[in-house]
Amino acid sequence: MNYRDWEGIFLRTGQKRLTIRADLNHAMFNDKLKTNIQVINRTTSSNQSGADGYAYRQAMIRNPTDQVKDDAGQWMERAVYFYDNPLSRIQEETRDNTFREMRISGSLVYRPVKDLSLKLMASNVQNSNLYGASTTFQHVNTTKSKLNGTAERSTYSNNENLMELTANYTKSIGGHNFTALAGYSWQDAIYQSFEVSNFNFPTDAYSWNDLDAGAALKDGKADMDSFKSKWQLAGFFGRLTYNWKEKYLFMASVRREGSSKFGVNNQWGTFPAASVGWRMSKENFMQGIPAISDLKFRAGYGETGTIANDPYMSQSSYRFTFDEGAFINGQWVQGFVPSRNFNPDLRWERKKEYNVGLDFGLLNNRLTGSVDYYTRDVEDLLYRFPVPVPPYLIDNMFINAGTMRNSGFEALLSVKAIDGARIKWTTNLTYSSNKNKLANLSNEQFDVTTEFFDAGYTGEPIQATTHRVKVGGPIGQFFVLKSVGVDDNGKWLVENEDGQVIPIAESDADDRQYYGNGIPKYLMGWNNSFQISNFDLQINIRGAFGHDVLNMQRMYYENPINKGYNALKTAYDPVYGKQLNADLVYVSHYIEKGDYIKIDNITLGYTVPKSLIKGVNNLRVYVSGLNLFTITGYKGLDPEGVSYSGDFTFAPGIEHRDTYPTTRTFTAGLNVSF
Amino acid sequence: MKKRIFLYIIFTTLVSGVISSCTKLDEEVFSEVLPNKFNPTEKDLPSILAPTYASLRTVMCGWQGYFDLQEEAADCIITPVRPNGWDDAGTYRRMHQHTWSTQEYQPFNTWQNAYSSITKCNMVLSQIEDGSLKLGAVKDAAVAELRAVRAFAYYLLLDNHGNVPIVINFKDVSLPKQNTRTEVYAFVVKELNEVMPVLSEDETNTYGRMNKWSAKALLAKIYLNSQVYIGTPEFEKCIKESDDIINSNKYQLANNYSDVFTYTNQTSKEIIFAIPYDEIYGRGNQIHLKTLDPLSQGVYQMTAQPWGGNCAVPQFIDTYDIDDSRMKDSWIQGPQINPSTGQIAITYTKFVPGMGGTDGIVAAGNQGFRIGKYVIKPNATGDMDNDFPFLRYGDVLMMKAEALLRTNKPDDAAQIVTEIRKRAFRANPSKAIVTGADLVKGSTYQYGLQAPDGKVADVNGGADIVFGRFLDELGWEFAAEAHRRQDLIRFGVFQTKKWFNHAPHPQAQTRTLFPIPQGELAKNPNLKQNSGY
Repeated sequence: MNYRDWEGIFLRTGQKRLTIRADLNHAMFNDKLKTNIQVINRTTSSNQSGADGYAYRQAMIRNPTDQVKDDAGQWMERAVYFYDNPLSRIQEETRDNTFREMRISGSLVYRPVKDLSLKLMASNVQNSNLYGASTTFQHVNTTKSKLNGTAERSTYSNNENLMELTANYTKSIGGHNFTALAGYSWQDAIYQSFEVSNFNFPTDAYSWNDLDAGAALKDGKADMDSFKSKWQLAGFFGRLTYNWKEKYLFMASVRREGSSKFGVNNQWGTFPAASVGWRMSKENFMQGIPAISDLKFRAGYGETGTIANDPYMSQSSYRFTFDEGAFINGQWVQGFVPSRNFNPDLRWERKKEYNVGLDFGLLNNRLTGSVDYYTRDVEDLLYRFPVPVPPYLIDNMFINAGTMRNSGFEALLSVKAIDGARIKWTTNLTYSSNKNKLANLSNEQFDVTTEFFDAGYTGEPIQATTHRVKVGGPIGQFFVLKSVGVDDNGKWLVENEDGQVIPIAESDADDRQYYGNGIPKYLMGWNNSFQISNFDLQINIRGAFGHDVLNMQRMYYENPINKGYNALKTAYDPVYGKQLNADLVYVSHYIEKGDYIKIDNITLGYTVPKSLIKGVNNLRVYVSGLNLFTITGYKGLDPEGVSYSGDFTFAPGIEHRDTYPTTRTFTAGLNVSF
Repeated sequence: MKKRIFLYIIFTTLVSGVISSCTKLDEEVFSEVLPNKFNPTEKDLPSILAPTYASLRTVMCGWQGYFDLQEEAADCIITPVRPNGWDDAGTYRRMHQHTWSTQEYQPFNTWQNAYSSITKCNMVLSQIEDGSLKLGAVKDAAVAELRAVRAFAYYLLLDNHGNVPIVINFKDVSLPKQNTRTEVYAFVVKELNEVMPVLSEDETNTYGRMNKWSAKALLAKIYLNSQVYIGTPEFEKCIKESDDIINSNKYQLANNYSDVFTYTNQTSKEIIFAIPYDEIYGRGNQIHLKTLDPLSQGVYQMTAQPWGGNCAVPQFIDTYDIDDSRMKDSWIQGPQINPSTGQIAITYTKFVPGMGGTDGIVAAGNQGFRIGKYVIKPNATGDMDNDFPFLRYGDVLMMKAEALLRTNKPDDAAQIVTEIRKRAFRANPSKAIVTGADLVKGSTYQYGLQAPDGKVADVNGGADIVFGRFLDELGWEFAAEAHRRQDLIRFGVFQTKKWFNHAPHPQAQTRTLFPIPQGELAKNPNLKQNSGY
């Protein structure tokens, strides 16, 4: 049983979580049959109030000298566009959420003979969520927008079943070692949701607890909705491994998987994989080199499939909606339209990966590590692509089109630098690099000829797309007007498509260019663990290099033009040696180098010697700090640039304007076992 | 041993049972309608027709839609930079200065929604043709109406993009081939004339739909502009179609000008073809949000906060006669009183310093008269109830008048114009009268670049505009009705004159057509860009 109660960073926010876990194991028939039942029940209640990214934005742009409340004691609000009192938003809105989940899983393992094990595993996960939100009469929804209190209630539930049957056979004859695995799995899930909102209440005392009292729903101005969906996934799989004296290793496997989310003729996909290994260190000729304790070469190929996120994308179905309705014969009617551009041939996205690698251990495995190189082609990429209207009904279509190519190198090095009785120091280094590009965007069935598509969005009031993905080019590139200076009047100077410097007023969308990339070229990690007699110390460091981040906070707030809003202290700093006097705009000036090194975690612990206190098995005290220190040239809050919640695949590297600072956590703790 | 056999049996049963029953994947649908669950008939026709009109609602008064496309490229309405934004990467400035790119949203939105309506028409027409939609007796009328809606959508493309593909077969999913503007013109005229005998003559039950009279008014409009579209004038045909509508006695001028635009205007006898809007069922008319300053929210006790953007060009406001009641009926001006406090919330002034964005100029929240033609209902939400009158009787009269004027009958034209002016000069009826001699005069619009202090510095005037006075009449009668771009092109002003911060584009003639949207060119290599882009 585990209970946690967090207080949030914002006022009136927090979360409580209760987890109850029970495990039951039983063995029968001389341990030939083992059963296990596990039940996990989790309840999470959270209070969010009106504290969200938007409230944070209001706190950022609020005139800091303005009153919080007016002389009459009411929240001070101003009739300025997108400008609300952040405190009134937090205090006058309540948003509560309760999530309950029950996971039940059970397994039966039966070993009729020594080398064969049969396993049946089944699980059921049921969760439900209940959400309520309301605003009082003192919230801007009422003080500005005359909505007289707003309230909504929404709920959803999920029921997911999983069943897996596997048979595993292991046999060794002399130096020949075999394993064979065969199995079958089934998964299905049903999702249901319901929501109602209302406003125009006679009182704000009800919160969301008497939605019926509001008038807006009866007036047809508030919304109500319900939804249900279901999907299924089935799979057969088999794997064979063989090795000879652990010297030559082979593996071959195949999965045949079927998903209800694809077209009836394309539900099933087959995904083979194979690998070979050679543990050279086991060869006789290696025995004379004691410095090498382990050396293994690996090579493999594997295919895996990816399912569409949402069900029904292959259905030729219709819907009734007022969005497509019209005023016909003197009344408003719902329109009857296809739910989407029909694509009954939707199929699996396929990832094909080749990799070669090397594992090694030197000096009695005091120095171990591995290096890997891979190329990964994602074929039949599932994506919502733009299509022309006509011939298609709407301008986007969820189809399999295009190939994305990834290739990368990964290395891991682990050193037991000091391995004494009293002093130990282990250090791990990881390195990875990755390159990717969109190899093509085509589909034999649909005439998709787009050579690029745009992704990412700045939001109001700049309203521009941020990234462009071009066939043959890497993914993650920003597409932007390249700023090269500021003129005497404070206006941006940008590069046009011919490379000439022009005032921004003369530029147009055709002058935008690729500038930087939001995906790091390489990542590094360095973890250290020290043990000096009873003290232990952990230091985790990681870094990412070679990427760029769009600093939206600077783009919006490092500009003195908007006197109505608060600005960053740097707003009056010269830009290219000049004082900026220009409107907010998306230019390359706000795209910064994102390289960073972060000290993620340091933990120092002390274990009290066993003999010290009677009856206590183990006693350890520790202090720990999370997110301690960042070394970066990036001017924003977090150079990881992961706060943009839009299309993260194709628009990486955006630090959203509403991001609030990552927290730094210090913990002091005590572990005791009796 | 017994136990072992027992367990084997359990396993085998489980395995075989599971595998035989659980390989059948069945995507059960709950929140959508499968074709085999719905056999549409005559009674479902309204819902089947509705989507073809819904696209028009989306684009007409929607964000950067048709309204903005027609008005912001012309000389009556601008969206200057405001304290709360409205630079939007320069798009309003480019619309004003005719320097729009091939990726500008406004022309794209019109293209996209026109084709959306066209494709939906094609889909239903193909369903009727292949028998999957069985309609019985109403089939011919439905086909005629769908073809007329499709022709309407093609008219939008004919006027704005010109050289667009004509697609009529829904089942052909190959990439469409481009047609010339002349071919599109011939297609729209042919379609309207072919379906004319079958279209409904009833004007009340077909409100908001294409009936015979809206088809004739649309034809009149196309003929009036045929010199622009194909180089051949068709004024006689324009007069003929207008006369058919006039002689039908189905429509009349509203007594009050405002009645045509107010939030209950669906009852107006002046409206021939409207795009209906409703704050609940037919959302999307957000003209009030775009034009009003946030401070006006309290004045109308609105439940949505306006965005504070577009306003009138001061030079255009200066052309109004002081007694012309359309000036007050079309533009919100002066002090605005919050009824709950009795205080002045904001005072709109005529003066606007400039478009801003390039020169550091920012128009204050209260600068510029606001679009008030579409009367704002008290407690308005973010969506207005006001229907958008696309074709109205007053328009038909003025089309006929212009055709008469251009075929050397200025006195006949003047009679019609006088008729129109009468309701604008109730307080001073003598001012309503215009003569043929007046109409052949130039324009009183003081064309020229406006300096930030409000003075029109670089004057090139309006006196030399042929039938300029008639253009002024069009401006006063149809201000903020998304007519102005087309009228300016027909009178040659669009290509030659300066107003506010706009000077003629170096390749001005090519700007009378918008570019084929860049995204469409990328998706369809059969398309060639319009000249000049």
